[in-house]
Amino acid sequence: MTIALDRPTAATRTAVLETTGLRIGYTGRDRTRRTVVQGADLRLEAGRTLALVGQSGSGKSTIAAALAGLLPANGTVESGAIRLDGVDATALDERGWRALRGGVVGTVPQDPLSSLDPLERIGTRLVRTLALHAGLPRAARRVRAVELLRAVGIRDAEERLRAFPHELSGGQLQRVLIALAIAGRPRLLIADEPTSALDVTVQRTILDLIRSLQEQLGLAVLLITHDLALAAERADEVAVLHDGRIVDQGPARRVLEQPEDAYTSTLFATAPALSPDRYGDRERARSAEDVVVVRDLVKRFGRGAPAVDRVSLTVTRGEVHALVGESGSGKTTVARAVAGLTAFEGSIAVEGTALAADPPRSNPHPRLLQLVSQNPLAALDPRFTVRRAVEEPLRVHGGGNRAQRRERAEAVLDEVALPDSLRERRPHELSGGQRQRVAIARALALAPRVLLLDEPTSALDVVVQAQIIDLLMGLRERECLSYLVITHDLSLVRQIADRVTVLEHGRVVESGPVRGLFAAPAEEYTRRLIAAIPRGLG
Amino acid sequence: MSAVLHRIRSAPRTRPRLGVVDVLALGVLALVALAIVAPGVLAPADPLEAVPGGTLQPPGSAGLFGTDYLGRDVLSRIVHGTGRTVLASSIAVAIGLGAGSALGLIAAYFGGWADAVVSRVVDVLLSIPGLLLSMVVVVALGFGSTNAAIAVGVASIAAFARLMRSEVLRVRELGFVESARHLGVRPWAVLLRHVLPNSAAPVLSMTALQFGNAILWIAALSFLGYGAPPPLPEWGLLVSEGRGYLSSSPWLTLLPGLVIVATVVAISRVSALIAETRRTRP
Amino acid sequence: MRLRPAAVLRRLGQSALVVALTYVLVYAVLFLLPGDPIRSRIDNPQNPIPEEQAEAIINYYRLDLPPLEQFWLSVTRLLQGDLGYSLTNGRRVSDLVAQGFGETATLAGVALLVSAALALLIALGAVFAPWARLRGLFRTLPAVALATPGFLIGLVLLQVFAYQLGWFSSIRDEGARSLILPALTLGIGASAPIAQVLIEGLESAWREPFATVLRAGGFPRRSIIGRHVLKNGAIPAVTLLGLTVGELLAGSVIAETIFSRTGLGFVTEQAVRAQDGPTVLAVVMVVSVVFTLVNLATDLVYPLIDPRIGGPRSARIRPHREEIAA
Repeated sequence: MTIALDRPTAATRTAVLETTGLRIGYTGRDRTRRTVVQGADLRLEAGRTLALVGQSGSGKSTIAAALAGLLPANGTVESGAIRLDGVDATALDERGWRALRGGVVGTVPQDPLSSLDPLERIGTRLVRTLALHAGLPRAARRVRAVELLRAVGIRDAEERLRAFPHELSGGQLQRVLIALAIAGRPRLLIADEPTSALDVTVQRTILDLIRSLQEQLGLAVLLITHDLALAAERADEVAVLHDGRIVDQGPARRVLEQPEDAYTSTLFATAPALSPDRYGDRERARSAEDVVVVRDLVKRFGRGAPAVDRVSLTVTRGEVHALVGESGSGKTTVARAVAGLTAFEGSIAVEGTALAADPPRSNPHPRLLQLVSQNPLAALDPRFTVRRAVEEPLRVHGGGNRAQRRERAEAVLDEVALPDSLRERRPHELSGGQRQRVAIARALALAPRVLLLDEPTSALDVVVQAQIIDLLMGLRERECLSYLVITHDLSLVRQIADRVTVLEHGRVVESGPVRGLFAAPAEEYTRRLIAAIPRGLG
Repeated sequence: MSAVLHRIRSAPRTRPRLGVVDVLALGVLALVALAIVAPGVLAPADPLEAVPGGTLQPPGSAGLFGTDYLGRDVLSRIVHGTGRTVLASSIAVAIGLGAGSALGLIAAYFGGWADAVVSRVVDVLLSIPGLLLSMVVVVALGFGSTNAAIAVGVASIAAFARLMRSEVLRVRELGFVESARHLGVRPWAVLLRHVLPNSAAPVLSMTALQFGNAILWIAALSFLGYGAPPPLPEWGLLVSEGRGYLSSSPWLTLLPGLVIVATVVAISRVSALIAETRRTRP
Repeated sequence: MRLRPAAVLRRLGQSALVVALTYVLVYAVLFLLPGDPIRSRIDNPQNPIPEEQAEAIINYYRLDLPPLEQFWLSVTRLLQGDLGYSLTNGRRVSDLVAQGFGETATLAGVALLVSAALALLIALGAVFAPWARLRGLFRTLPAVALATPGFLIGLVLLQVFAYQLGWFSSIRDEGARSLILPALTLGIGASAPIAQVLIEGLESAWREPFATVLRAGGFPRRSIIGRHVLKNGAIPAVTLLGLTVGELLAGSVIAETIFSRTGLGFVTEQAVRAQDGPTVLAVVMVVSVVFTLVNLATDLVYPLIDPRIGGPRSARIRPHREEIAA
């Protein structure tokens, strides 16, 4: 009878995870305390998913670490309480945590590629994990290991036991890590950005796997993500974290449709996946004038299949042309060839000027087309101030005397809206968004007609992303620029591009106007890419 | 020199927070500098003057560091030996840095054949341990403190060449160098404006480190009797001279030895400081 | 996990080239620079070599030939195993080297073990010792050891253990016991760079996400360190093996001088003092060959230690078909 009494009913169900007034802080090197989580109240029941959403630095990963007792040595829970499956875990020591890890709390890490010991075979690790948690007899562990691998969708599981981590792809590794996380039959699964290091089409399958395991095992899932649309699609409840505070919390639908907080509404308004029509008025008659013409571009690295295989595309004046593909699709190689940074076969012409197939070390046509790269911190000399960086191209190309150059530099910096007070700073003294503005200004200094944007926002937080996109779209309008945008983010393509070319394994899969392509993709691969965009509330 | 200092100042850096060890290190180097510039201030006596009555006095009673087998004041000999030791190390580092970075730069900048040739030469030089290589050069040139310095310099060429080459190659692949090329900046301007300034920090740090190494190697050559001839006070020679009295008067060996250790530790600390504060972010 | 034969052959060729070029370079420095050591040695008024032996040496080295032909002569003789004659005592250089090599190889071998053990101890202390101050103390040890001249370490050991404590004799040959102090002298010096690389390796392995994931999986700290961090962190130190062996052999010059031993180091010390070119050349070549062989062996063994290196590319499982289909 007692058993029946203890069994939780829907009404009195105990929470698997419960935090009350959780405050977490770090001690800096100079002994100063910094509180990064300021009073978080979270509650999560078995079989439910709670998404913790926030940008980098919001404190979401700190909470994730604290819930598994994995705060770094200088981090401490200052006040509040953590209860895991009924156990007070607030002040556990390492031994106490070890009893909870694996058996009560399972974790799925962010970057599967570096999350397994490269020297240990997958099978050894699974068997050791089972020995630690499952209490199986030795002989049964191997069998169970195979079962687990099958359960997470790894084929040839028997054979894969002998594999080393480097022999598996990122998606397969993440599956193995999920298998490891559930090996000890935990009650709570903490997934910290479980797909951010994976290709878009793989992301979806991993999230589907987590959901199906959740249903089978009755897991409570805490999903940590920066991606609002993804949170809205995958979670029952959402908690939005901003500067260490939970600013909005509730059922996913309510948070999405009626955000209680200004910051949350900004987030939703700016996420490309949730606001596809932000620049909706952009459909204009395209000019017939071709600015970038790529014909049968081929690029080989060593022997084997070429990295880029007979790629052709055309950018016309004033349009935003998106080149889309996953990692390894060859899109970056195409960009480098168009920018004159690598040798190629085939032909590339910009504004009617043919590029040399084996480009010289110094670009002879900097005024035709400029590249804005993915990582502005790397693209700016750490020793140059903002002004000096922007003046450099003018100095090289005889842009008048010193005063004229300064005037031009100030003008482009005004154009990208970089405050005057930041212009004597060096790159590492700027934020990511500010750096990207400087990189854009530098590219604009010589007044090129075409900008090649290589993942221009992938290193930035959502809100900043939106600001940079706003800036770029405004510039295009004012300066009548044409853009070739390289990206893996289809939601961004849908938001800003006029036409799109889809690459897979170095070949063009499909190409056409964005509207048409999104409405009716002709190819299976394109369909998969489009399906991978989180839909928000499904 | 002032140009170099200026560039250091304008470099991106996290301002170092000097710890106790750093302050101590700088203090040791200040003493070394003083011993070079004005040995008379630190040395209580004439380093060459023998006092027949006061031989092998332990530290304390007769002078801070005691006296040697001729009654000469050990502290004074160490202080007066500083200039010679540091000069020899400077020669060695100048040779290593000059020849090494020129070779490394040629290899990295021209690539192809030049790189292949330089890389093989560097391989060969690295396949002979430094001490042995400097002995080879000493055999060829003859004994003496300048020859020992040259020998040590030759032995450190490979390390500088390899570092310079790899630094230039590393920096040349960084995004901002590509960005400059893309903006049409000429190759030599890219090298002077972007590549060299950004590879300076590791080379500078290595120079300091090699300076310490040079002191050690030159001391080793002197200890073996291939360097400065007696009675000139050179640090390694001082340790060597004390060897015969090791069991009865160990301070003759230990004190000059500890001065070497303190100096080299201080230099390596400063080298680490340079590396820490001026690291180019990738 | 296997190296392709072509790659092994290439690597062998490289090693042979380095050794050959080393011979050319050292020969050039010793004999082709102005001031021929053989001639000046024999013309030296304090020359200990008797008249007729000097005559024989001059005839042997054919000093009348142009330099390039002399070099060629030395190469052909080298290929026949003839390393020439010592300029100090007229003995065959190959005998001198062979005689000293065994003793020094034993010394270097023991010193290598000492240095590996010390380095491991220091690195573990520096990364995993319980208190920050203790870790800091361990961390400074390699820097201090690097700044200490080898001869000072030797003299301090001699002073403390032989003179003060009387545990060892400074003169008598006590067999294996006599190895201890010189091996410690060499080992302490050689342990410093290994410890530094180990500390860095252990720290970076400990910082790797996989270590956190292991903790998150409930594995105890001891097993994470022993089974994972140590293995991963020690791999970079393996590449130091060749360098260490080279330094130990070179360092034997000083250790053998201090502890009055008669190995290769002693031979070298005498040869340099007497500017005995042929002997110095032979010693340098022996060290260079050992260094190159150890490096070659390290490179060939490396793929066995680290499965990521040298693995056949085809084994890499291609794209994500599987996930996509699933």
